[in-house]
This record gives sequence, structure tokens and C-alpha cells, in this order.
Amino acid sequence: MTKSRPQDPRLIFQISSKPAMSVELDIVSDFLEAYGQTGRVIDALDSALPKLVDHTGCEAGSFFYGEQEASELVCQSCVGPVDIRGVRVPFGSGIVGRVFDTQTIETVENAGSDAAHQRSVDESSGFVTQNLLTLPVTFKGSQIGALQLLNRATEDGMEAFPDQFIRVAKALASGLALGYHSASVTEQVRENDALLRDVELAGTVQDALTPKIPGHLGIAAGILPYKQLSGDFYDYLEVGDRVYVIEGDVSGKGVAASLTMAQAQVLFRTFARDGLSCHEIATRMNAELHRDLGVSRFVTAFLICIDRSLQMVSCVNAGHGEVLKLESSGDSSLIPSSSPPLGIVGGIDFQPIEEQLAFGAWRLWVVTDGVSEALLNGQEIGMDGILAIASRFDSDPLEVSVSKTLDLVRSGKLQTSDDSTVVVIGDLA
Amino acid sequence: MSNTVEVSGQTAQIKLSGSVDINTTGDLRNAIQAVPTSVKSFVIDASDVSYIDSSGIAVMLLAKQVAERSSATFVINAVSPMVMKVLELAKLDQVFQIQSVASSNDQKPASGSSTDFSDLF
Repeated sequence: MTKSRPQDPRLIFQISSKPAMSVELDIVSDFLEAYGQTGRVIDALDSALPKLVDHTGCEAGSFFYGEQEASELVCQSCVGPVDIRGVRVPFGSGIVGRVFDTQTIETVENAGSDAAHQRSVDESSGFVTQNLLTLPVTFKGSQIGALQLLNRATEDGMEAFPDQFIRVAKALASGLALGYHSASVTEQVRENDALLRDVELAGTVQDALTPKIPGHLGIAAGILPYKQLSGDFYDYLEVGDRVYVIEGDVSGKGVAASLTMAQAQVLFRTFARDGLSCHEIATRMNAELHRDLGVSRFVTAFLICIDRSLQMVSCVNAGHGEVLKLESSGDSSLIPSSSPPLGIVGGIDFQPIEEQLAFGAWRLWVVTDGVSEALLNGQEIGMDGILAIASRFDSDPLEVSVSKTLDLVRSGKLQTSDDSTVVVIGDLA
Repeated sequence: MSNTVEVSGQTAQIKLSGSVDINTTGDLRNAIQAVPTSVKSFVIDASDVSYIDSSGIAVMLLAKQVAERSSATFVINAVSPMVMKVLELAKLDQVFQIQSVASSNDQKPASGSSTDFSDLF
């Protein structure tokens, strides 16, 4: 078993060979320079720690990093007769664990008399700890690790770790803390960049899922996401003489909402392709979404089926708020929700009511709450506002009326903090 | 204003206030899911809610689900007129048992026929 190394008298000589302050500045600046060049905290410490150990006349030095997940301190850098890198100490154990917990600098002049001293580490490494200085490494009160200097040779009557050595060790500990914090920020930025790229890609996929509707179908639609990903969606599908249309709004926002939106869209296409009625499509979508989403997420939806052979439009409003029907005469009416949103109520309790409208000189305005709850001069426009917009743009072609409506949001005349979607059906007479 | 969950004996009181939206419901969801299964009664007070979005509605549904899992009762003892309007529009008044609607102190700008929409065009 290796014994503790006798103190090298040359180290004492080195202390007096150069002005102390200059050496101390060198140690810290060497660390910062090495960190600046490599961007790796431990590489920089591996370069600076031997100088600190030499300068302070110690036999060894080490840095233990606190791994929060494992609740352990792990030695990441060391200098001395024994390589203890990788040695692990549970939080709260040993002198290093105590300093990590209390975040207080400790000097121990006789390790053997300190009950917390872990003899097992000495026994397994062959190193004999006599005295030690342990400093917490923290950033804004957050624990990062602990730096130790061990076995400083002293002459009789000398303090084991005089103040100037504690100061330089503190300076290195501060540099270390800064390095770790900077590394953590860099890692966070890298993760955020990756996340942003994913969100951007998801936005591209979502754009691809938003269809361009042919002009001859009597349907126009547009969507203006509030942020990169939208929880709103619309879709259509032609099946023989029928054209199915859906406008939906998923609860919540962000990636999770966009995934649910994609799922709802797939369900719509699947059931519409089977030529089901709006009532049946809504019921089946509800059952699937109820099973998969739980209650923490739901989808409000307005489903429409334009049947050209029957000259009828049928629709189901599943918690989507009111839908405006504006006649060319100027008369208007509202189609309220006939059932809760999709995904909330399971099984036979979900009973959407289907409305039937004969083809005629009217337009249906289906908007999400990003539009109907938008503010004009500080007041929510509500369905009165939707009526005003629909009336104003009634003589425009359908797609123009949709784009003009979204322009009101885009230009900031209508202020909203949600996705805005407009579907207009009409000119079917 | 803040949203709180207080457990006292076998009752969990969930108080919703101000704007209940995606920015204010994260901690609330965790608190509701942490309610012990020994609780036998969930009571929501939404009388001071000035605005609620779909995330807020989802939190109310979550509380209902947690209550049902524990075979506990679930009731909304009061809602603001704004919340009631949202629940009615989405037909969610069929889903929740609502005991009363508080008198109007709605802080969200309400829509009304007084709005001059000519400013839009």
C-alpha cells in the first residue's frame, strides 16, 4: 500500500521564489485561459490544480463534482501520489460531503481526529490524509462541488492553510463555478437550439398537413398560427358527391397540441373516407380521442358534409363555439354547440346533434376562438364582430373573404394571443 | 391572483382566480395530481376567474378525473359569468355540475353591441 509522500522541501522554496500574488494570479488566469481555449472545465482544472498544489506546498489536491441524480460526489480531477478520479462519496458523507452540504470553507488540521473523515478512501488508496482545506464550489447558492487541498507541510507553529492560500483556492473555486455554470448554459443553449430545430421541422410538417382547397368546392379556409406550431387545424376530403370539411381547435398549445391536431386530422380523414355521416364521424373521433387523450386534452370541432346529390349540408358542432350562418338577404343565425368537445365524454354519453341545411344563398362562417375572442379597441369582438366581418366581405369571393379576415389579425387591427382559423362555406346555390 | 389547492381533512378546495390559462396552470395540474386518494370531496371555486382558456378547462376536467379515480364527489360550487359563458358555448355545462354563477365582476373586456366595428375596415 502506498504511503503518504514526504513533503518535498523544494515546494517551500518555490513559494518564496516568486511574489505570492503573482503566482496566485497566474494560477487563476491559467485556468481561465485553458478554459477559454478548450471550453472544457475539467481540462482547465487539470492544468491549474497541480500549480495550486505546488504553490500551496500541499501533497495532493482534488475536485469532487456533485451529481444530483446519484446524490453522490465524484472525483473528476486530482493531483498527487494516488489517482482517485472516479471515487464516489455519498452526499453528506466525509469532510467533502459536509462542505458540499454546508457550503462553508473548512480547514481540518488533523483529519484523523475528525469523525467525518472517511478512512475507507485512504485505506483503499493508500494515501494518508493529515490536514486538508475544503472549499465549496457554488454558483448563486447552487451547489456544484468541492475543491480540496491535502497535506500541507507546516513548520512548527505555522497555520496549516494561511489566508493567502485560502484566497487563491477560493479564486480557483470561483473560476471553477463560473466554468461549470457557463458549460451548463452552453449545454442548455445547445438543447434549446435542437428543440427549436425540432419545432421548426414540426411546423413544416404541420404546414404540409394543411391542405389547399380547390376553389370550385364552395369552401375557403385559412389559418394563422400565433406561434410556430398551431393547435388549430382544418381539412377537407372529397368522397364521391360528398365533400367533408372539419375545423378543429386542440386544447393547450405547443408540440403536444400539434401532435393531437395531427391525430385528430388522421381520424377525420379515416372516418370521412368511409362515407359516414357527420354524426358518425364525430362519435367515432370522440371515442378514439377519449381513449387516447384522457381528459387533459380535448378537441373542439365543427364538422361539415356537403352532399351535392342531395343539395344538403349537414354539420355537427362539438364544443366549437357558435358558427355564423349569413344569408345573402342579410339575415343571420347562429349554430351553437350540440355536444361537448371531442375526447372528453366517453361512450354512449356522447350524442352530437346533426344540423341539416338546404343549399341556398348563404355562407357559413366557422372561426376559432383566436378570431371570435380577438380584441378591437380593447373589446372582445364576439359573434357580433364576426357578423360585421362576414357582412363586410360578403360580396367578395370566398377565398378573398377569408384572407381579408386573417389580414385583420395579421395587421394587428384585431389583437389575439391564439391561433386564428377561418373556414367559410357557401355559394352553393 | 393565484390558483390554489388546499386539502383539509377529506376535502380538496381548488380556488381559481384571475386568468386561468396555459401560463398559470402548470403548477396547478401538479398540485391536483398530488391530492391524496383519501380525499373524498373536490370543490372548485371559479367565481373570481376573469379569463379561462382551454388549458384552464382542461385543469377542471383533470380535477374531475382525479376525483372519479378516488371515488370522491366533484362539484363546481361557483363560477364567474365569463366561465359560465365558456362552459355553455362548449356544451361543457353538460359535463360539470355547477351550483351557482357569481355576480358579474368580469375583468375580461366583454363583447357587446356598443363596439364600433367600422374601426376594423
